[in-house]
Amino acid sequence: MKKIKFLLLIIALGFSTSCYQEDFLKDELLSNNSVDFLYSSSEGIANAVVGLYALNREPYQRDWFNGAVPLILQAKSDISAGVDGEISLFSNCFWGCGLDGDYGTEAAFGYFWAHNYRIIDITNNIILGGSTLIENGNNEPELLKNLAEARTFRAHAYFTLYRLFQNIYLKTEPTNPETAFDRPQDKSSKEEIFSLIREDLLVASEELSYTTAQFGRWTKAAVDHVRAKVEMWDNNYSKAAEIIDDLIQNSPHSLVGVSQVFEGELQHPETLFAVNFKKNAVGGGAWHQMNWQTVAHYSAVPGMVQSLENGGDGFGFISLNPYAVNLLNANPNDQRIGNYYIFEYLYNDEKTLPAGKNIGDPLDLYANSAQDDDFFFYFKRQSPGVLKFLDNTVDPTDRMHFKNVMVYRLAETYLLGAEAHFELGNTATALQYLNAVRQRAGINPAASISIETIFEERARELAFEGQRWYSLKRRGILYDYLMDHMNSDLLNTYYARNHVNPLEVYQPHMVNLPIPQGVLDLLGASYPQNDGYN
Amino acid sequence: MRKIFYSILFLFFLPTFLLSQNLSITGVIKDSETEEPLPGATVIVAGSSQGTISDFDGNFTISAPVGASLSFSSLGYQPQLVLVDQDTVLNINLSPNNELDEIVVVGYGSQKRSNIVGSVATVNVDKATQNPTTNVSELLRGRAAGVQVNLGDARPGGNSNIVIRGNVSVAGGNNPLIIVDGLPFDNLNDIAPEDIQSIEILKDAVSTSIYGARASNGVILITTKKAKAGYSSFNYSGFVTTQTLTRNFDLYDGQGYYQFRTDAWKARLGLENPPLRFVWNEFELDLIYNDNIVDWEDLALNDALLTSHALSYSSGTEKSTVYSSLNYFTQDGIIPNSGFDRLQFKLNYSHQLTDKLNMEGIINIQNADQSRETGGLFLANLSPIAKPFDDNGDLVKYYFGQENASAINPLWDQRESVDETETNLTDISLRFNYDLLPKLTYSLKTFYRNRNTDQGTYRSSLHSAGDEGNNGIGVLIDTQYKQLLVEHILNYEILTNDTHNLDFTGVHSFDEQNFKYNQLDKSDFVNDALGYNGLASNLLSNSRDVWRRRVLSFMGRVRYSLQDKYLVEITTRADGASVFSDNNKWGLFPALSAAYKLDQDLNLDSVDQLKIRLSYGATGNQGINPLESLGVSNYNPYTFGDTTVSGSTASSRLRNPNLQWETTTTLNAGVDFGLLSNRVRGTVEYYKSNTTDLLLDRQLASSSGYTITRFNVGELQNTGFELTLNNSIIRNKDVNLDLGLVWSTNQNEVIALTGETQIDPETGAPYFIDITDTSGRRLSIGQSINSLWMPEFAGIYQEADFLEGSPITPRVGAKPGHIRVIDQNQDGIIDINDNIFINADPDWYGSINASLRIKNFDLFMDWYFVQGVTRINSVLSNGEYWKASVNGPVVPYYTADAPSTIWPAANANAAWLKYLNSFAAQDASYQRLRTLTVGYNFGDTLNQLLQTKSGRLYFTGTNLLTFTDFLSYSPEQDLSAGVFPETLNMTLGIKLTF
Repeated sequence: MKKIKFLLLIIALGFSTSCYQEDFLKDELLSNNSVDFLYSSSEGIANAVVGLYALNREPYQRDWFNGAVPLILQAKSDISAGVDGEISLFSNCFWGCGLDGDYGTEAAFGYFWAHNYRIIDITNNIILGGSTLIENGNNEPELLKNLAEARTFRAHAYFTLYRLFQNIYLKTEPTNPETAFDRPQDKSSKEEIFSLIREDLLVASEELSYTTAQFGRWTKAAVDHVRAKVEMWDNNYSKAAEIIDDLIQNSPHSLVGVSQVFEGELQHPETLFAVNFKKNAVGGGAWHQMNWQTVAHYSAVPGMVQSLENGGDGFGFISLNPYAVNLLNANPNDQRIGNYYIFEYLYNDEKTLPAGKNIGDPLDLYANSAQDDDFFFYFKRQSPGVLKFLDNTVDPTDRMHFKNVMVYRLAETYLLGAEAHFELGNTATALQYLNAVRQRAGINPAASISIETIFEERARELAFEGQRWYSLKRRGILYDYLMDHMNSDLLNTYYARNHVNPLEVYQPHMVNLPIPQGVLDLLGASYPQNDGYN
Repeated sequence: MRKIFYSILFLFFLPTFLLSQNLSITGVIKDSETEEPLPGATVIVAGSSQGTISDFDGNFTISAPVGASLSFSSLGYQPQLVLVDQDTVLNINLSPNNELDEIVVVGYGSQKRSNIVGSVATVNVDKATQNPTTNVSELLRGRAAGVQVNLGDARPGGNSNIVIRGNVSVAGGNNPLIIVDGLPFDNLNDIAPEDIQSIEILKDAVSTSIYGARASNGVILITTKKAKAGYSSFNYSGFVTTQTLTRNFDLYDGQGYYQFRTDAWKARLGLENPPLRFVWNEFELDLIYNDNIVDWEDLALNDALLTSHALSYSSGTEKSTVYSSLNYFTQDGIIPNSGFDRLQFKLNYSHQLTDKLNMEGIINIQNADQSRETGGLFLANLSPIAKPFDDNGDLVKYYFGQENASAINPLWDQRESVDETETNLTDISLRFNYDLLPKLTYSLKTFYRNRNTDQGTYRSSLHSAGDEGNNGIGVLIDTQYKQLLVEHILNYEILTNDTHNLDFTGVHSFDEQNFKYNQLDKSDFVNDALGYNGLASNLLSNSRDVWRRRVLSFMGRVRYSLQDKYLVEITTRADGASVFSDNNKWGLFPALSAAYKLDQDLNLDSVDQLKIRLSYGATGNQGINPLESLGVSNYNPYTFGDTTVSGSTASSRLRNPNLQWETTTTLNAGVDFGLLSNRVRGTVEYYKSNTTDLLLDRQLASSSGYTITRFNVGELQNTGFELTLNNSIIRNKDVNLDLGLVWSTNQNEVIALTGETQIDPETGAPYFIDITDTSGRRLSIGQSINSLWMPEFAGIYQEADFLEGSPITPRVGAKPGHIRVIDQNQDGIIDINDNIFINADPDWYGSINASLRIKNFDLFMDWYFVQGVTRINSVLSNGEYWKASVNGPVVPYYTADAPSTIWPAANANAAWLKYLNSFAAQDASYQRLRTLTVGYNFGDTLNQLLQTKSGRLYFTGTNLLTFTDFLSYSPEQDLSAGVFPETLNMTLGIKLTF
């Protein structure tokens, strides 16, 4: 029994002493890296910058609203017709044109706001951490390159926020627990915002080279393209023209054949910046549903099944509107039809083929007419769709696509160049740039040029790539163009049956998105909402 | 595997010892009140291991030396000691236990019920264990005042949530601390109901503060069965249950759904006869013409069986006692592919090593398998106009045909998927008690728990998630949870005499929990044959999560009673928890209570007990996740071209380097009474608990780059009344009738938040800002934390509302049949300024139970009530339902011909149908006959025939009747995707003691 007592004593003491070690109650990271690692070494910064690319992809793979998020600005532009689903609510101004309990405003615009500021805070951390490293003598080229990419993300996020919301504020210091609850009371001036954007982009342009071993990273060419857009926004056409000329002449980028532009993984000389996806790969991201939204629901018609030739799985939530279709049909043999856009869906199912139709016949059951509300079926099942997001490696019945998404490409640089030179009075250069794009598409070169023709060409070339809403707003013609082209007349009156005609809802002040109430609630009490929404 | 368990069980049967005999004594043991003989009573020679048991007529025979003591005992009776002299015949009358003399388990010790100073509710285990389930939380429903049970998951092996005296915390968790045989359990369901001896609920600070950390949500103390010296028995308990779907709504059948959707398109197109092609696709039209109608519930759901077998053996001598049990439980769910199997082994062992040293050991071993249906199954949503089988009767993948590939047949996916979780649990606890001095005991308690789970899900290459080039998708999840607890306990009975009783308890403990998690997602399997166990060529993702939390504690308690009339108890506990920030680890939680046994001074015949109690004290909450005071980054890789590169992103949760304890201070006042020979017994209690330094998840301005941070701020208050009443209306030899009532109410109110103010632009007055937590709850001073914040539903727009001169000005864009909400500030627009708070918590809840015994038959009935609770019914807030694009409950929705004032119109463009949440926030009050049991207790003849000491045959119906306006399977269950329907159960069971 003595032994047992002794043993007990040992056990008791043994257990007791173990817990008096120093730091016994310390909380430790056991399977996560700390944020301090991310911003205090060049290795961490490299990691954080890759994280930015993944974060930047997030809006595309949001599965809210049936994957509508990456198409919201397209839906709000003048060349789309919102047919069905959540995305159409942005087209017809049921969502996103006001504040009062507007779910679209709160959820989607609130996300735009939060997402871009999240990128900004991370880049602020990276830039601060990086400058400390540099001060301490670290000048590895990799570090400088990563910092340049981070600056590009910061500038791009501010540029996006400013263009969407206008009343934004600048924040260049990282948020910390002490400052997290600070409430900015006022917006920043346009000058302050543009000065930071210009500075960041200039540093990036000087640091980055034209080529990268890792497709998908920011390059000098992509940065210069954004710089040109910034200058255009500020009506600084000479600076814009200078950057564009330099980019077109000196970079290795060039226009490719019309059939290659959206081929495969977009890894070709025309691409300036693309968001990368890869199916079933670590880091490959979740899918996007952009194709499913923008290709008609032709497969609901007897005699037709989903096929790659018909544009894969489509559900016809949004399509090119008659204005855009007419523009594309204005020139004979425009090769963008069939390559960028699908105008005809062909019968392809022997089993369910209706009488009188043959395999290969184009679908022509519906007309854009008021008769029996036929237009609705026309838009839903037959209307021209967009092929720019089609992933031809997945099954034709699969709505989940992993195709890389084009963000910036050289054709837009040409059209921006045409506009800048036109404004400067260099009509010859302007025509040369415009016609480079036209000729590549197989249509006749233009003999004269105007803002109107440039924007018509932009519509044909760049439809649904996400730039049109910004460009129209930049020129101050968004409201007028929407009044002239929004959706289609029949769709607009159709919406009015249950609500109000969007042409009546849409007001000139709506070119600035409303700052969502949920965002405003957490800002200072005097923080200004955009004019017109109060 | 199971055979091994049986073998182990029998190994623990103890040999009995023999003693020399001197005198043979015989006699009869009877109930002192009823004079009925007591079969099965235990007789032992004190200080030896020799004993016997009375027969069916109460007769016994035993040999004992002169001068020895005989101890007579029987369950439910006070034991008696008799000295052996020369009498060879002893007739013994045992008196039934007085409830007040019962020994009740309290934290770190026990106490005579009449001397309890804090708020401790005892759950009647017999009544509680009437329902056939492994969900132990459900057994507590309606059994104790102040204990609210909310159905969590009705699936086999699922669980429920217990809230004791309201939510005292916003983010720190509201789960009570569970202590089983003195050991902390993280899951109430790890206990086999058959092993439970007693359940106590500790509610006020003085009872709980000795548990300090986590005790602010109350403590559930469970004691499992132990053997008694000199008594051995072998018990079998088994039951079989059928589970049937029950619901209080109809789903549209083919014809009804046809009309529903037609009406929705009428509204959308504004046409009296909407063209068919708008309403139905070609495939559906074909089905309609051919009358192809499906009843999905009929196809997919089956009544399912549940079976339980429990064997236990208990035996004891003066030196050693052993209780061992083996439980096997198997349940099929009413949804195919769902089920739960569990095998449990338990051993409670104690042994007196020397005069001073006693050892106790507990072993629990458990193996459980849960299988789940494939996610998101929601039969109520499926169109009855569909074709799940082809013409040969084989399942097809798309129930609207290949051309509508988004309509995936759920039966197909069920067939092509598995989701299995295996859990292995091992608990070992050793405890040594050593008497340092006659009244001073030192105990060392050690506890080690290991729970491993292995989850595998597989979606085959034909499943809608595993097809299209994935060649099957498998997810493997392994978790490993380890807990180590060591406690040093000192007990000192300083004074024990007629006037003064004083004792002291001191505890030092440390508790460490370790958790490891591994997940692998794979695709491209060789084939489907091996399921998730197969080899796959493609790694989709892998993740690893490791965390640890530690708590160090010191506790002291002093209990004092003067003349067994005035009682005082003081406790203090200091806890250090690792989850808090470096300089805020420690919290101190003192409590004080006093009671006065008024009955001793009153001396009234009709008052047997009257005790007034008052307590005040603090408890803490550390129920947050580790790492919240530290900055964490998440893995966020990216593919550049074909190359994956590692990336990281800072978590959107901002660290808080000042995180500290949340403290709840509770004032409790109670009266315990027993009247009319204790026939009427009850407790009335009032409490007020204030939680300060609330652990809150606060939303950050999204422009900060973060979404959320955890911090301590504000104050929350819960106040409530509780009433427990028992009345033994009839108590005699042949008939017993008892009525029980449990009633509770709780009022939750936010007292303070961040203290930040803003200026109201209209009035210019400052007001305290509301804050929103992660779950979207809006916290506002003066409101409950469980509030809905939304525009107020005011019915449905009628055509008359749009006529000139109507007192109502309809909202812009509104049409007849749309939902109308109130424009509170009458500014012509509905915005957040028109939102109101609706308290979602119940006004009160409670139960009434009655038990009746007539001779060998008994009847038990338990009604459960919840009143004044508001819940959003997801099926009714779902726009797809109002578009009639999915099926749902049949309701009298608005049409021009039959304009409803409370149900909106169906409209195939539901986006126009605003404020669905305001409409769908509905009263979910209910009254339910939860339990109805009819039992037969074996009489002598049957016991003799079956060679049993006692036996019981019973039938139980569970959830037999429910009255509620809330349309769902259960009023506590929102009708939405993935919800497993709660069932109506019929049980037939038998209990035998040998």
